[in-house]
Order: sequence, then C-alpha cells, then structure tokens
Amino acid sequence: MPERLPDDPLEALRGAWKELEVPDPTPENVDPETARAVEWMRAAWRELEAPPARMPAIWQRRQLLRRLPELGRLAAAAAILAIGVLALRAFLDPGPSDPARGPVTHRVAVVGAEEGDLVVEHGCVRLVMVVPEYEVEALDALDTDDKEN
Amino acid sequence: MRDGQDTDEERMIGRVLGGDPEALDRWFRSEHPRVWRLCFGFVADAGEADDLAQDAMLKLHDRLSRWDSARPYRQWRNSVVLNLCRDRQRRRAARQRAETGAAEARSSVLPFDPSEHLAQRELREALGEALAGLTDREREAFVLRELERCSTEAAAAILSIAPSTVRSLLTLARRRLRDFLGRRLPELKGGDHA
Repeated sequence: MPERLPDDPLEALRGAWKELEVPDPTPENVDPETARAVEWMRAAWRELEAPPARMPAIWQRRQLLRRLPELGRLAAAAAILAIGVLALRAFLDPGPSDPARGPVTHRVAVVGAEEGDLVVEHGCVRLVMVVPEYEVEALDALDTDDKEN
Repeated sequence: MRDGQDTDEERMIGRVLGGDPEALDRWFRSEHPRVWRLCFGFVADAGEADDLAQDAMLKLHDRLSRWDSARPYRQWRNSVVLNLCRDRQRRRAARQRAETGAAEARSSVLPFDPSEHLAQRELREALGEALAGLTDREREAFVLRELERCSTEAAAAILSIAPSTVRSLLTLARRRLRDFLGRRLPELKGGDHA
C-alpha cells in the first residue's frame, strides 16, 4: 500500500531537508588514508607540550600589593614579639657571670616596707605591693591578740 | 553536561575570584598548557601561540568574573581563546598569505609515529604546517572536534555555527590533511601501517 502523501509537499521537503545531515566523519566512515592522516594529527597533538610559562608579572605585582596589609600585620606582630622576648630576657637573664649580682632570686631587693606597703625592686622594675586596708586592720587585730595572749 | 573536572575547575575559579593567590597560581599552571595548545591549534604557529597564550590568560582572568556558570567553563574558555586568536589572525592575514608559498615549498618526509621520532620543535613545525594548510574555519573545527575532542554540538556552540556546518568543515579539513600528509608520510601511501 503506497504511503500517504503529506498534505503540504513543501513542508515535507523542508522536514526531510532538516533531517538530512552530513554524517560525522568517524574513522569508520572515512577512507584509510584519511583515517591515518587524522590519526597522525591526533598522535602529534597528544605529544605536543606547551612551553613553560611564567605567570604574568602584573599578577605577581597585584598579588604582592594585595598581601601588603597582611605582610604589615605580620611584621608588626613579629616586632611586638621580638620586643617582648627582649624584655623578658632582660628581666630574667642574670647577665654575664657577675658574682656580685648573684642569681635571679637574690637580685630581687626589698627597697621599702611601710605599714601595708611593700616595695621590691628587680633591675629597672619596681613592684609596689599594697595590702588592702581591711587586711591591715585584720593583721593589727591579730597582733594585738597575740600580745594579749 | 557537567563532569567532575568542570566542578573542580569551577571551585578553583571561585577561589581565584576571591583573590586567593595560591588558587591563581594553580589555575594559571593548569590552564596555560591547555590554552597554549588551543592557540597553537587555531593559529598553527608556535611562536605566535606563546604570545597569544599569555594574552589569552590575561583576558580569561580579567573576564572570569563575567563567566556565566550556567555555561560549561571549558566551552566558555575555548570561546574566549578562539575569539582572541581570530582577532590576531585578522591582523596577520596579509603576512600569512605571503608565507603560504614558502610553507608549501618544504617537503621533508615525516615518520608515522610522532612520539618516537620528533623532538618538540620538529613536532610543532610539522603540526603547524599541517594545520596551516587548512582554512581558518576548518582549522578551528578540526582542533575543537578532532584534537580537543569536543562534541560536534559543543564545537558548534563555540564556533557559533550549526552542527551540520561543523561536520562539513571537518570533512573538508580531513580531506586537506590527507592530501597534505599523504605527500609527507610515506606510510600513508603504502597503506599498510601496523
């Protein structure tokens, strides 16, 4: 039985034209010489290496600029740390062996002691210990009790 | 369609856009070889590809923020590189015409297996000559479809042409390459390569 003709032959022709496609030229549907030429190209392409390249200088500058605040903070932190270490060393280091100065514990000197206050000195550091008023009164009371007993 | 590699690239690009210098370094090192090969394929000249790849990397970086993540990254990248290469091609068209005759005059014989016999410089020359024998459009279609293994549809999208046009260009490119390489590859004439 013959196929039914479409209502609009022109439309059918357009549809058929759209369907018509050049097949993908895969190795199966090309001649051997062409297939080998393409295979040679692919093999060469696989072997092809890009030359080493350096990152554009402008990016390196941008990276450095972007890191400036961070670098600044790091430098400041390092400086503070170094000063702290030096101060600590100055505080704890007995210095060159000087028998007159003695070990660290001996160099802490009591330079003043008044009622309720104690002033100790170590190198350039002077520490004033103040006993709170109520404790002074309590201590006085204890003294008085001891004497009475 | 996305695959794992696309997703990884997208993640890395997010970090590049966020100003992560380590990500920028990694992105450059992974992208530059691919971009260089594309440039070389499109312009068929290794020296030109060196300059183009640097320009393309700068351009890609500048435009990364405008990349629409709905589109596969590699397709977008290939389009940017292609457009840059086309611009450069237009500018050097006159010079290229003058050099075509000189390229045709060479007729050294190439070994069949490029990996065994050719140093990189010779490989670039051989590939460059073969690709230079194609028209710009044929070369673009051939590089994307046959060498970079894009699908016909993806190549068509990058080239802004119909898939059927890509197929036609591929057929022409293959024919030209067969004629060109047939003169230079002795094994092709013998037809019995193992």
